Amino acid sequence: MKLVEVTGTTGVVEISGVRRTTDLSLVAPVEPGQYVIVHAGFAIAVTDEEEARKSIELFEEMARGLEIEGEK
Amino acid sequence: MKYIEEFRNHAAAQALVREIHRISGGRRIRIMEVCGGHTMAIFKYGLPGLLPANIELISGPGCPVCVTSNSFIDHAIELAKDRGTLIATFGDLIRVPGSSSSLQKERGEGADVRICYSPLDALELAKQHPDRNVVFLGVGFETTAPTAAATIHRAAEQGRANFSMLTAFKTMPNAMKALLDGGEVALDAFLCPGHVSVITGTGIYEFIAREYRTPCVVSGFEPLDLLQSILKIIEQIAAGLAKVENQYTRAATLPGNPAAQKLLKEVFHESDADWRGIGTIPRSGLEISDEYARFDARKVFPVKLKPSRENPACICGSIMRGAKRPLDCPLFSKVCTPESPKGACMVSDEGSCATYYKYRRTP
Amino acid sequence: MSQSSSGGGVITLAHGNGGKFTHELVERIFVPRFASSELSELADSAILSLPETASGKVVFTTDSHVVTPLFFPGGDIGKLAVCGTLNDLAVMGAKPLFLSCGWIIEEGFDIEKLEKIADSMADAARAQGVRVVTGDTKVVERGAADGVYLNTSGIGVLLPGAPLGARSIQAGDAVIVSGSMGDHGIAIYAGREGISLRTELKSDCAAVFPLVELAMKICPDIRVMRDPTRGGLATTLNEFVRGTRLGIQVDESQIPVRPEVKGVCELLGFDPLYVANEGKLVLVVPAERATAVVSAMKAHELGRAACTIGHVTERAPGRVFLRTLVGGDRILDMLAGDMLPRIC
Repeated sequence: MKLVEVTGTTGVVEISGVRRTTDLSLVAPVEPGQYVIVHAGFAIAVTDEEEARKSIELFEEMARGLEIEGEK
Repeated sequence: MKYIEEFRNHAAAQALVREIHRISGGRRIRIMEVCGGHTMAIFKYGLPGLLPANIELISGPGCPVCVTSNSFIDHAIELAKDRGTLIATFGDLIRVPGSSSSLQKERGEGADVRICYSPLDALELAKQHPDRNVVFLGVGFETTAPTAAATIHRAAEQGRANFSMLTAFKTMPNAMKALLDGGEVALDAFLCPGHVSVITGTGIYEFIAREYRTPCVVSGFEPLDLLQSILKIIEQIAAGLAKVENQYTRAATLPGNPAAQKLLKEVFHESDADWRGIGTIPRSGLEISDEYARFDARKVFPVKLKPSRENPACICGSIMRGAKRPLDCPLFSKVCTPESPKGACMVSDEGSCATYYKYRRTP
Repeated sequence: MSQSSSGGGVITLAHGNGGKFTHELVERIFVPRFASSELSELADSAILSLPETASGKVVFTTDSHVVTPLFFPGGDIGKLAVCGTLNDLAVMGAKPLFLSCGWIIEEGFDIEKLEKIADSMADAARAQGVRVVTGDTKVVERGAADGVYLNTSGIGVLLPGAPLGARSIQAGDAVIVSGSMGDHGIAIYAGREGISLRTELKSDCAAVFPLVELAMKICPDIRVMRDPTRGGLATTLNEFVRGTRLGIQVDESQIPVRPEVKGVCELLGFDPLYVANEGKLVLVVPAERATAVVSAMKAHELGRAACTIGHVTERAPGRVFLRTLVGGDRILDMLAGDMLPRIC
């Protein structure tokens, strides 16, 4: 979920236009714009966007490979 | 929903499924997952039906509600009966049957039981109701325990005198070890819990790969995460390897979350724990440490409990150990249903039997 | 009344005793708003003339409404009650004509709030050309009615080409929804729990007869229609095939769900397919009519997101199953028990 506001160790996360207050003491210091994993009202990790992008690219490649196979 | 929807891509899933079929070979491969979130995701997306018949996904004791003993619920109910007490709990616990009642039933009889999304909500209730004793029911694994620890820490900072927790937190690694040592089920690999690993770090499973030659893959919760993790397991098995791999690289790391680990060490200490259906597993639980004893509801509100009773025909224990399946239980779907659960596995949405009942009586 | 109708004040037990206070209440709040000649008579019953119809059939329904909160984004208990009853008539293939409303009001209830609710009812009824022709008012002691309980009954006439019902469903039929699923229940939940949303999520509360009319014009052999209220889409689909030798398969990727609804569900572990809707239609139609029915509904503002989401199958008798986003299948059972937010 995207962190959109940070005030000390409290923040606001947003997903699909839904906002929720989240405690940031387990991941501080963090900044708005970062993505966090939220559990039971706390952010427990900051999403590693580089790793996420790598994973997503790999999956997109697999998807493309399947399309190409389909066209054969 | 960024970093979520991309991991539900149909074409990529089909590609992963194809690859799994291609290299799985013919021999039976039994993969155990030990995380309620994984149980739910696997069935929610219909993954078992996509896998080749020789790959079996087994649900282990990963549902925190399911492994919580009857006596915990009985204790909570006793506390709830005192009208000066306000019980705050996650929604998961409210329907769980104890020996003779449930929190939901007690609420119907006038007990004040409130559902929280976070232990912080419970602390807030304590602030708003200084005349009541607020007791938060803390169940969960290493993902939830730090949130409880942080809350207790905050309660101490605030000097909150009317707040305490009744806890039954459990930890995974020694439970996984106990399952392997028990030898009841031949396991070929573990799908390791994603968010537990975010907290503890992925290194906690090293001993399983090393001493038990069992591949372990830490997995995220989206369908592509799970399929990719299953593929990694199959690839390890095909290559004769047994190591810990991290599929959930966008969230889990080798060292884990240091702030959370520090709080856990400060507020809790390791203890033996009673796992419903399995028995006592050494060093598999967390208890509130002496320094924070004033927040431990067990110490602040000791209660005399009658010995708890389980339904003798219920085989939840075997199911949670992976030895039996829901369909093996004589009570399953005939007497024991989500509307009237007889045992732990049916009560929680993440329990094996509840998930099986809801999602798997197949077309 | 304790005070004049524009000045506020509260309902007292005297308002429900059938005497002077009750009369004042009815005459000053309800009669002018509902503006029907039958109601103005204030007789014990309303005498009605029904229009000639080919079917010669009268359709009759009743509903009690005990919803909290009474006021929510997109409506209130009044609008909900009227639309709910009108929709129960509409999905049978009936043109709604007359309504009754029975009030059970809690002592101490704000008269201004009562007027607001009555306004909503009157507006909703008037917009559909329906009259409130009779009613009843009772007041109960403080603590006994959560503010207001409402009962609405409705009368309509069955139109030609009305659906024959779930038993007429055949293998291969198409399953259509008129729009996004889960809006009402999630709007209520978010409002109640104080979950803040960037753009406020409103209930979809609406009268769907206009959509029914359009669909029936295009398709004279609709099998069955229903508005997927409590229990959501999944429960309604199960009601269609339970106990029969047919099943339904729906495609998760085809079911429209608004992003905010997805977000709240993702956060709290809810499933939008089990969440109540109050202004939507589910239809089962012969496969060859599906495209035309969907186009017809899309032309109306209530049906912009209409689409085909699945079909009736001989596989899985009596069951509904979902083809998930990744291609696997899972059973979609009826809702059992309340949905609770999942944390652990």
